Amino acid sequence: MLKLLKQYKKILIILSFPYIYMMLVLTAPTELSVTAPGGLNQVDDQIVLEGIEMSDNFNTVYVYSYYPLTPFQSWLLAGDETMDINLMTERQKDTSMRDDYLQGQVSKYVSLKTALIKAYELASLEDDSIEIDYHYAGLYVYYRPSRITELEIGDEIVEINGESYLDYAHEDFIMLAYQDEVSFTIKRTHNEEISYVTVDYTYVDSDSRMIFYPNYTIVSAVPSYTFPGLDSVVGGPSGGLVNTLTIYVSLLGLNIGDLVLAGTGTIEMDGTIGRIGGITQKIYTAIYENVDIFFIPESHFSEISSIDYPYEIVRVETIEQAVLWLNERFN
Amino acid sequence: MNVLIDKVFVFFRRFKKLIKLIDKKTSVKSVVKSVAGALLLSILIIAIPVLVIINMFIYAKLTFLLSVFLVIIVMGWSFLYYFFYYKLLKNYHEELSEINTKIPQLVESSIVATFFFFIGIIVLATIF
Repeated sequence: MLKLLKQYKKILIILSFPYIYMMLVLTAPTELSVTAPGGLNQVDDQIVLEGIEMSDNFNTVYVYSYYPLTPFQSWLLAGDETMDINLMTERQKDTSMRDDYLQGQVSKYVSLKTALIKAYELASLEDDSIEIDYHYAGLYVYYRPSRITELEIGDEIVEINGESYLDYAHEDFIMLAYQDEVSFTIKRTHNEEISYVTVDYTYVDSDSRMIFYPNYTIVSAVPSYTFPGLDSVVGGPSGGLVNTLTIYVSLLGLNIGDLVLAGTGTIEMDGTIGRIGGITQKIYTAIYENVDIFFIPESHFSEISSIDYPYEIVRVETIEQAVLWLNERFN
Repeated sequence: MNVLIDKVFVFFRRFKKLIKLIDKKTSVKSVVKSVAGALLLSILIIAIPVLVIINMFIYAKLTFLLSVFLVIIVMGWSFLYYFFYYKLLKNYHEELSEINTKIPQLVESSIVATFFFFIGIIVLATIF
């Protein structure tokens, strides 16, 4: 081996410099992150309602979020208007790949439950055989500084400084969590055994603020439901609007024909459609996937004015507006 | 047809003979050193195109195409590996230069490449 290396010594020395440079360019992490166009997920793969044929017209849109980028990737994407390159946030730097996945699952689960509740509530106005019973059950941990190892993504917070969620509405209970010194009581379920753990947390200046999601427990629902799509790698809350519309349309059996509908926007318990990340990339994804109608939160509309999209855009602020639009168009 | 089958048998008999001949003239030590050297060199060479392709996976639309390229590169790696393996082996045993190592090199590379080809197809079929 050495004999061979000696034979090509000069050329190897010359080549080693560009080689090391290329390796650095292809592997060294930068402080940049990118949001890139992704694809569509059919909602009928995500939600099953007993005895109901789910509408296959609706699709949620997912985008890819990568961080950190390598120098090569940042050069490659610099001139691409479909990509959104940003400096990584402190929260992204503090989030491992596992935590990122868990965050996606938590927010998706909350979003699916909220979508189910809102859709059943709206559909029950049209058909009184549809029922849902639920109650507020505290908070889910979505993000916590990684130094707080006792707290896990997805933990259920049932008490804050000794105050139970039972005595509060969500808006008031979450305010308790944003104090600088707090003691969380966590409910954990392992093999159907419930245990409670207390975690004390003191905010320091280097910490990014924690993020929580509301935990609503669905006690009963008619028709009953399952979420078979929960374990997929695609996560996040941005499918809330479309999930709600799919459940609503399926429960009432609205005929949408063979149109391909997609959309993005979170669903809140008061019916508000919330803002999402990567709106530009979602609009491009919908272009690539040939959708016919696309729902977006009203507040995002000004951000997509420069994009030439070939489909109909429906701008909504609340789920009631979206449902009204569907009923006027297809009923 | 029979002529073709005969040719294949003759080819493989020749391949077996050459392998036996090479085995006789080499030692375990030099084979181990050649394997290690060939692995090192071939991985170093293949690392750059593989990393370029992995970096390009941010283009979601190209995912399938890039995966196919990866399979092709991995198949190509087997040819590169055996090229260096026999090059190093000849380097350790100069008497091997009189033997035609091209046939064992190509046959073994092709077998490994075919193996990677099937593995690649199974992986691609599972993912896409």
